[in-house]
Amino acid sequence: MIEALWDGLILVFSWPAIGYMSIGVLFGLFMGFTPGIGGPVTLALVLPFSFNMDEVSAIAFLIGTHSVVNNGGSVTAILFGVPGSGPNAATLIDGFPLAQKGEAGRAIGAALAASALGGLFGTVVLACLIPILRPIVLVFGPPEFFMLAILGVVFLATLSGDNPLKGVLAGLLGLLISLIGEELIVGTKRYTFDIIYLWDGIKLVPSVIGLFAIAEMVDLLLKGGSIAKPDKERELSGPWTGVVDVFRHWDILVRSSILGVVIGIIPGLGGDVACFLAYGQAAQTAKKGEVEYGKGNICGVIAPEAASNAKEGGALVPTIAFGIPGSGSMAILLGALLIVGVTPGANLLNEQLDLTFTMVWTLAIANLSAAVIILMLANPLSKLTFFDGSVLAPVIISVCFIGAYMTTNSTGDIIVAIVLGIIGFMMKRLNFSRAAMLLGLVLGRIVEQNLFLSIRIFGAGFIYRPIAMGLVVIALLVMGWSFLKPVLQRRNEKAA
Amino acid sequence: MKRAEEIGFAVFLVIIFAMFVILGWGYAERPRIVPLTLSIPGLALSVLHLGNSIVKAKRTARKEHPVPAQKADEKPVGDQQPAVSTETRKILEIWIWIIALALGINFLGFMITIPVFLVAFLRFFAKRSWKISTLIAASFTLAVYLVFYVGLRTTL
Amino acid sequence: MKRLSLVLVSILIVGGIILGSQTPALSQDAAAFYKGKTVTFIVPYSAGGGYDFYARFMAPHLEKYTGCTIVIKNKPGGGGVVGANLVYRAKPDGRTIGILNMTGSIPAQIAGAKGIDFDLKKFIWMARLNDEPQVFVVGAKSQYTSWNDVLQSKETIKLASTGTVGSTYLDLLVLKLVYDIKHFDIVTGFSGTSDADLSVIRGELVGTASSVSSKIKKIEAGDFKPLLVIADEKVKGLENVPLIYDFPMSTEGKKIADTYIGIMNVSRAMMMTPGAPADRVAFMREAFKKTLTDPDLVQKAEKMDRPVSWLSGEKVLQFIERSFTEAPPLFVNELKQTMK
Repeated sequence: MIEALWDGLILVFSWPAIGYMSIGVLFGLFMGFTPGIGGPVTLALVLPFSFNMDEVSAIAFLIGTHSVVNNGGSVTAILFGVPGSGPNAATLIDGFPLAQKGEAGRAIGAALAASALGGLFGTVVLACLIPILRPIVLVFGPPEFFMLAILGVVFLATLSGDNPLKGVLAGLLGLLISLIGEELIVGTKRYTFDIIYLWDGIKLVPSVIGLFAIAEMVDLLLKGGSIAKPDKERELSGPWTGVVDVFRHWDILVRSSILGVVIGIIPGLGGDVACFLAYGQAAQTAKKGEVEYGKGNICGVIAPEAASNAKEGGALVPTIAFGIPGSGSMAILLGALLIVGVTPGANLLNEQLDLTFTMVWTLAIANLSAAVIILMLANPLSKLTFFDGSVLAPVIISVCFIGAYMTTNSTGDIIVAIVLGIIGFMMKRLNFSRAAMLLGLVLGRIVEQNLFLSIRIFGAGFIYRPIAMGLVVIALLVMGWSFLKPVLQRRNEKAA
Repeated sequence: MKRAEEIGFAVFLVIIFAMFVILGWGYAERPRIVPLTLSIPGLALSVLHLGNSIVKAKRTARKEHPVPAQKADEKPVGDQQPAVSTETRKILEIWIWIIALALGINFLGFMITIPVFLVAFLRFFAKRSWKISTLIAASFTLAVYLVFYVGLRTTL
Repeated sequence: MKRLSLVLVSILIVGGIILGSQTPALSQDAAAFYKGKTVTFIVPYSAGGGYDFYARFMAPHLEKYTGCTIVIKNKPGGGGVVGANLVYRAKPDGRTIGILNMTGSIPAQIAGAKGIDFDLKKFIWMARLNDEPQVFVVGAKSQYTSWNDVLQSKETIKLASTGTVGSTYLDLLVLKLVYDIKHFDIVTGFSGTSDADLSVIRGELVGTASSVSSKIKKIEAGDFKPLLVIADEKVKGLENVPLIYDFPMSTEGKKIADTYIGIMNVSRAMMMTPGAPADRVAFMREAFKKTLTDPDLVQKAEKMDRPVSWLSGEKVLQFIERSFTEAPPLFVNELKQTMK
């Protein structure tokens, strides 16, 4: 196995593989920067180019492209509040407020460091798990998915900060909105008013664009000035501050990475969930005196970024082990692997182990390269946040609409963005947690779907499966903690 | 002003949750479970929230106008009245711009609406000169064209 | 005299020009028409999915054989309905083509599903992309080792299915109807075939069904045991697996099987807007034929487990029309129930 590890590394640095990987990285970053275009679409676009490459080059090219798309998207999420794709949505919840405080550079630095380290972590875990890949994937089923989603919902409650009623309302609204559309169990179309666009439900990207980006832009136009409020005479806190932050909060980094890998390994939960769960989990551990989550807590950037890239490493697991794609982009990757003659399955773990390690190494190196590139650009890019808002905002809003539209190429996306933009704007003004609503939007369907599947397959006793039970215990602990914490804090204050 | 917004949004929430409950009621046994489990408590909580907002509004109103018999021609304490409606007007104006952009995209397509919108917005809202407005509008539209039409070979 | 000859010569010249411009090869007009123009290839499914892949896979070859530029537009929604509607209502000038999942659309139109503006019988069919024989599988460790075991089982057999509009659900439904199986319990709700597959591999559910191409690798890897192939001839790689017709079924059942296999025979096909000019139709059909029989493309497709098998557009229409006329009422009713 050590041989394969070494061989894999050498293969990556061989020519032309390394050349293709570099092209892939640059292209992937650029696509990530373009709003609304995320991992799967990018891969689909570059796939034809890989047909004529040899195996190693194709792997380097495709994985190189794919693994950095989210990094590009994080940059726009932080600078302008416009997510490049689903996973970036969680990053902008605290990333954009950081930019508003003039700390865009720091946020970008933290995002990249967290992403690179999280990706590394995911890669390491992936490498270690290679011997026991298959059994691990098989351990999780609908009951476990259900409990994980419930855990996410429980985290929701903590996101409401000091106004639990508003937070719960926001969360419930998000959960309900996610149920709009055709459900898979009987085929009923719920809350669709006979509009075909709604049959497939409310999509995440236009929602986030409306709820956050557009709402923030309207707010920006209203209040005037620029994104970053230069009211303090302070040095633009550079990206390296952010990098240091990641190391300082290493506990959040590790936890989020683990979460990301685990969720990546389990096909069936969808990648966006990982970022939001990580965010929720980090918010759980907020200590008194820290910046409130949603208002620019650097951990709110570190957590989802680490999870998102760790998840990609994890998603390779079922893809390699079973030929079952762990995520949308993995499905495309799978097709590409088959074209170049690589068959996912047992042989990848045995005879072609070096190719597997090539994939793993490419993931790591591509991430690192992307991080370096962006870090170099971080300072000039973050100067944009000091531009006059009334000039920047209309451009960003146009970009928002383009990005939203790219989701399904229909005006429905734009309408969703506007409606949620109006709601998001009101929510921001009246202090409702948009993060809670977003979490509900992401989790609602997953909760319902897995609940019904679990009952259908196992009957009502599904909850007694060991891992599910474990998750129930964790959920109860989390809930209990969120009630106790304010009580304990008040007692400490009184004692002081 | 904030109070009016709070109450208005609270009413909006009640209506939305009510809609989810009413429509959810009509679905078959399985599809209605989760919607109702979520929307009925939601409705209850949103009504609670509405009540809260009204009570809070009355309380702050009483604080601002403690003496009921104020001279009729004296300016009310809440002197934000004129400034508040300016803010509301600005908010409405911004949203009208945005909705106009959306309508334009829908009926005229991206490539026409975006430059027109940018020029108009930069000139009339941001109060920039014609030169700068057209410059920015043109370069952005060109960038969009290059990225999407030439680079990615997709149409918008 | 001179004037008369002038007139005669003019008539001859003009006549000659008019006659000369009736070029015998109609495709020359079409070729000239398509050269340099853009043709929109509407994919009624999201970017990154199987159909999107096929479209992008074929595009370079199509461009080579037509001289036009192919622009792929993803217009997902309603399980393909939105995109198909767009192709149907586009300008009939031959510059809009699309691809469609027939296994989903034919039953949907038969059942009168909402939102469908198109009539599959009226589309101008370009070609078939491939047919997708389906296979019924059980988990490797399952107690059932043959289709007879399944038929004769005394216990309820729980099966994994995606929503009610996937080919998985239809496969299982058709099997249930054809053999009049009372002990099938189809568990719907998985987001995709991958999730359904994993559930079976985990042993939670007994079996599932879907296309051979999507299952073959897992069968070869030993995760699945194929018990029955839904097709009318043996499938490569699964020669030992019995076909649906190998087991006794009622006349009604046979009619349902025939109808379904007829639908399956045109699993994926490409179409053009009704009313497009005949010469352009012929030209594009020829381009598709050349694309799908191009040895390089065929070979690559094979390697990806996404084989192509060309069939003419005219034949595709025949199959479609047949499925409408021959669908037994029992089948139609069941479809209407599920697609309510």
